[in-house]
Amino acid sequence: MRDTHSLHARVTHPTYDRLLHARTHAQTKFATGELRPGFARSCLESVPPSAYQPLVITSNEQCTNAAADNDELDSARVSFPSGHTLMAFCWSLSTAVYLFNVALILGRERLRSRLIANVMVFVALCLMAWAWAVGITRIRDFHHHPWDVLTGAFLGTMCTAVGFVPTLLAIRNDYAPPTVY
Amino acid sequence: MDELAYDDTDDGQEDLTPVRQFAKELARFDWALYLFSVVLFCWSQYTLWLTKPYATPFFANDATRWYTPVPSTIPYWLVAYGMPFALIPLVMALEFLLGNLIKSSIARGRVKPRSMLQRATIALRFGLAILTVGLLASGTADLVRCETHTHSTRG
Repeated sequence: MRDTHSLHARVTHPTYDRLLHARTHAQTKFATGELRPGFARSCLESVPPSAYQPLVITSNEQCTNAAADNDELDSARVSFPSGHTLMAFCWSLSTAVYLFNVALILGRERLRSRLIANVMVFVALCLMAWAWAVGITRIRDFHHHPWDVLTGAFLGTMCTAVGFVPTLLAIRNDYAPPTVY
Repeated sequence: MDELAYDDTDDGQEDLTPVRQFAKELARFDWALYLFSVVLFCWSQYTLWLTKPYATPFFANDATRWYTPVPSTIPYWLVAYGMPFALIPLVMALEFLLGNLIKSSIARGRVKPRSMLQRATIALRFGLAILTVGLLASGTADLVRCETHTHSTRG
């Protein structure tokens, strides 16, 4: 029963967790309607305006850019939170935590396993760096505001932490006597 | 290797902390978890197709919205699909490695091998996990539609 639960927890809890991420993320994007940094390029014909315009656009029909269709304008309204960052943190963080735990287990074994454990820690750190790189490029490419990326990273981190607890417990129960921890 | 060996029987369950015991009991209701995820996915898909993003007012002179976006340095497919397809084999390989370590403990007679019922349960749950991954892929496809402007049902 212990092995069955462990495999289940290792495989299914993270996947279910990620499924919930994707849906929550999409709902949040639509509910907040945060404008992307380049929204004016999609909505207005000339940016920046040649003169002061006391114009407040409250719907897509008021946009003056004829080249942009309704779908493009809708996509320019879903900036918060950053989906790239959320998914990157979701996958990277959960895998990194998994690698750290496996490294802890292997680190107590033979010398060769310790070498593998060090490699795993290095890969885990690279994954975290990759997740941050994804978020930074989203800001640098003017697709998201910094708070979009930070919120995406926060959501990915929190949801992964909550969803990965059973996995960690299962791993520890599986490969080490409970009294060790 | 002796440190890895342990007595894999239910007799040791009382050694688990209350939190670990609770997690183990919770895992018995995973079928409800899958059903809930499917219902959540269907409901969310339906509502997202019917709704539009909230129309936040835009001030034409708000210079914080004047930036010119450039093509994404890291494409979305690489994050949503490339990472899972790269990381899942990595985790599977590690599980294989750890499985070999456990196997050596089984050979020493310190760990009981899995019964047929346990193997069948593992296979069933693994199939449900693949189903969940498929739902995840469909869910992320909705995000891709947001980014590639193909909301065909939006007015």
